[in-house]
Amino acid sequence: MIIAAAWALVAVLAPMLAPYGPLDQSSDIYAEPSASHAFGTDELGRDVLSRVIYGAQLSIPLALSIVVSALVIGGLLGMIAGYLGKFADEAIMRLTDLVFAFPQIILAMAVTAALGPSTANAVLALVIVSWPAYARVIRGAVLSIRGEDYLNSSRMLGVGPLKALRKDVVPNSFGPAIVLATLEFGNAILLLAALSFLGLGPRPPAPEWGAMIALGTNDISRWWVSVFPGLAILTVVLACNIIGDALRDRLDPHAVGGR
Amino acid sequence: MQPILQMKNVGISLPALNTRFDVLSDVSLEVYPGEVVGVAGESGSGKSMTGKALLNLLPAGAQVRGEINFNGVDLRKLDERGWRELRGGKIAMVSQDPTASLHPMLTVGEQLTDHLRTHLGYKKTTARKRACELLEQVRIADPDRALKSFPHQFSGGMRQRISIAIALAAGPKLVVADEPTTALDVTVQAGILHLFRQLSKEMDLSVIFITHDLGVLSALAERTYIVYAGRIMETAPTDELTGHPRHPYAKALLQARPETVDSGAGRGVLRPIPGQPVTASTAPAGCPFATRCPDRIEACTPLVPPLVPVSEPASQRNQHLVACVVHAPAPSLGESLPGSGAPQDSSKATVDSKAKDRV
Amino acid sequence: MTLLEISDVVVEYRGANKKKVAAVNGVSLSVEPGQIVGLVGESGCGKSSLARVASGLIKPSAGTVKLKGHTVSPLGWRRRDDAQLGLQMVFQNPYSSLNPRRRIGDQLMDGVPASMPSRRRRDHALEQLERVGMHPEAATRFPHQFSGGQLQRIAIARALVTDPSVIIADEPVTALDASGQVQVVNTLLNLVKELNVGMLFISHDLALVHHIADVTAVMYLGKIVETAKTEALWQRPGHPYTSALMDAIPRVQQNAKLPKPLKGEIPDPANVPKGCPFRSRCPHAFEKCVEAPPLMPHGQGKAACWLIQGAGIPVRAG
Repeated sequence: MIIAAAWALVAVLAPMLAPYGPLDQSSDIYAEPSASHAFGTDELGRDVLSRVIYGAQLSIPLALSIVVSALVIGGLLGMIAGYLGKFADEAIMRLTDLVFAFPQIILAMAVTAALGPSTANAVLALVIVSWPAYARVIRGAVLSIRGEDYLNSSRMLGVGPLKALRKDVVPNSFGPAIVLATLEFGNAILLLAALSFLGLGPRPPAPEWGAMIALGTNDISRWWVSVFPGLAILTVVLACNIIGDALRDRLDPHAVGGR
Repeated sequence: MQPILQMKNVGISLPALNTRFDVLSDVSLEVYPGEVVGVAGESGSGKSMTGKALLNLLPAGAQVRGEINFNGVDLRKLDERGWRELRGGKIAMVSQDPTASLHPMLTVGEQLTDHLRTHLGYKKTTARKRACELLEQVRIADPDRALKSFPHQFSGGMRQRISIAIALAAGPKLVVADEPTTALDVTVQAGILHLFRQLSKEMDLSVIFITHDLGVLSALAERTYIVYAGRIMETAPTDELTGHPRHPYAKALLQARPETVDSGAGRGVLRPIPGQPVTASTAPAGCPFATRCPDRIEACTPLVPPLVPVSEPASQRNQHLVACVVHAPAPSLGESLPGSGAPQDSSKATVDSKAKDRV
Repeated sequence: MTLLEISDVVVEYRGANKKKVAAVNGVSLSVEPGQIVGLVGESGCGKSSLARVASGLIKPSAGTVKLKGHTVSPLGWRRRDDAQLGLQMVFQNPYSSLNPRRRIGDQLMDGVPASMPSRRRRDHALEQLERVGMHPEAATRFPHQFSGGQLQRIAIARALVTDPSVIIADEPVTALDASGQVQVVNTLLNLVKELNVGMLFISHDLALVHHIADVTAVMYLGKIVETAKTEALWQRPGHPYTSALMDAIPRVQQNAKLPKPLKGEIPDPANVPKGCPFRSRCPHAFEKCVEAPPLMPHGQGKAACWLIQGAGIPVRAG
């Protein structure tokens, strides 16, 4: 939790924390980590520490928007599938099957490559790739709620189907979706980094961690250029997973499905 | 005759945060060979824990105090290996939900033979033959076909019979049955009760039958213990207990049943026991039933009433004991009791004279 | 006038191998004002399916359910008709019949008739809580703060909010412990007396039904095999299954005999043999039983057994 909070802070306060601007070049090319450059500099003399910090400001909001969009779209579709059943359910489930048929990264790559590498397209691709998981989870929750008597009880009292959806189904189905969202956040960061590592995401000179790792591979002996962004990704994803697991244990013993 | 099981002053505590709480305070009971003994109580009374203690199936961190002697062995001194030999071998358990204790993915035959081969070292063919015998013993028709079927293909009653067969596999001397018929339809329950009676007689098997239903024990159990808040309130041969109950809790349990055929038409309000049931950990000082007891007096609260005999017993086995200061026997008998400590005697004299005035 | 009229209801569903299976196979029942009709049956007899049809939750495959003369339409995509709000149900599991995330008061208010002026609405809901012996303060709490017996009483209060004329109680005390059972049964009895509602009380517990019902109906494999005034049923059962149920009840008695079991198993509903459905397990079956007996007059009630035409069921000893 602390790690996550720390990263959130870093993202917000980036301009104040970073000793240098993310794009500032200097003549100090490939300097090793030292007092003035804690994480060293890259091939253009840019301070790695600052770029890692600014990277947070870039990646975290992007990941957040990916997760929220996927949650809303997937959640809506999942709810429609579960509540209406029959054709809507079939149609939406086949759609999710289609997306699930592909490994996430491959599909994301294909979409981004087709639309043209850019930050916006990378985000779009990742939303397309992630929504089915939420749809499945919410549909499952809705289906199990339909079996519960309180939904029937509300209807027996004269509550209409839409109001029942709003009051009975929605509040009780979002639990597992939230757990999924926390875990997916880490995944979004990872995928975003992967896309930009491959040159398909945010374009240079943006300080995206994946891109930074890619640049670092040009000269492995200057390990600091790749390692620190890598560590950043590692710690964020780990923190997300731990929070997600803790949330899941607390909310419900049933595991979250969807993949 | 010696009892095969003796529990003396057994208490069980479980951990919670920084402290421990009792689920059983002080239970003493005996089981003789070949008899069915009933343990009756409501939920929270600790009756299930009593059974689980006999198989060391208590939750993690449980501590047991008191003595548990089975066939001369002190169960509290057993190590894990000793328990594994005992469980299934000498003492077996049948629990309420057969669906939970039967493996859904293995056939009945596999489950029975697995048990026979691992615990008793039977060879394959002998195990299969024995499995068939066991199914016959629990009166399952067409045992050959049953061996090849899966648990979900059977009804609830049949599944319970299969559980009983598994329990009997290693030829135990004692079976702990924890609410074995509570989840079954009444006609199916009747069949299982008959089965327990037959097995007890045919195999000289002792059964501890734990339930909340005194009606079941009325016909099946030779002797019954009534448990409340982790203590025994009263015990006697079942007919004596149901005919002449002494303890107010026992009386209330007997009266709280819905009117039956013999007592004429209903449409009266059921007579509940006022108040909420109390558990071992929430029991007040003194008699745990005092807060809900219509006959309560001053002397009920400071000290826990001991279990005392109601009259001169015909034998050790058929004693009628009750833990109540109000309904305990007259002083003349009280003085001849061994071990009724000094502090109680003086209060007993005044208490019993009060009781006499009431009656 | 008859409050609830269930006529020849059939409920079918598709079984394992796509075969049609009838959970309810032609059941007729009626409930009058101030009357408690007890429906007794063991697992697999179809009483839960009947409960769902009787309350209007689902549509029967055949037959009709009428509330005060008007056919009940099942729950669908529209709001339930105001006229049908008079038919309410209390479910078996108190823990799942209330929304865990909403306050009790809010859930009760859902059922307050639209015609009631807004300032009276809250009071009306709170009155029902008091009626079932709950403190009105319960309205501010959430379901998880209550015991099973209390939750079930709250569920009853919720059913009362619509001012019902008929309540279907589907195994309302089966999931409760002894004190919960007493609470709920007493509450239901008082309500019927006070409000003159009609009640269909469904249970597997014959002794309990004997205690509270005016009329008892016994169900086996989707059919009613006997129906009679409760006391008459107990004095002289007309159907061997009724008799078997009574013999199987464990009773506290001196020198008690073990309750009598019933031989055999309940047949697979997908594969019911021809003739009387109880034939395979009946201790008195004879040649005529290969022909399914209809419900015939027996005393003031009805029973579906050929024995009635003769001397009746051989009298049980004791």
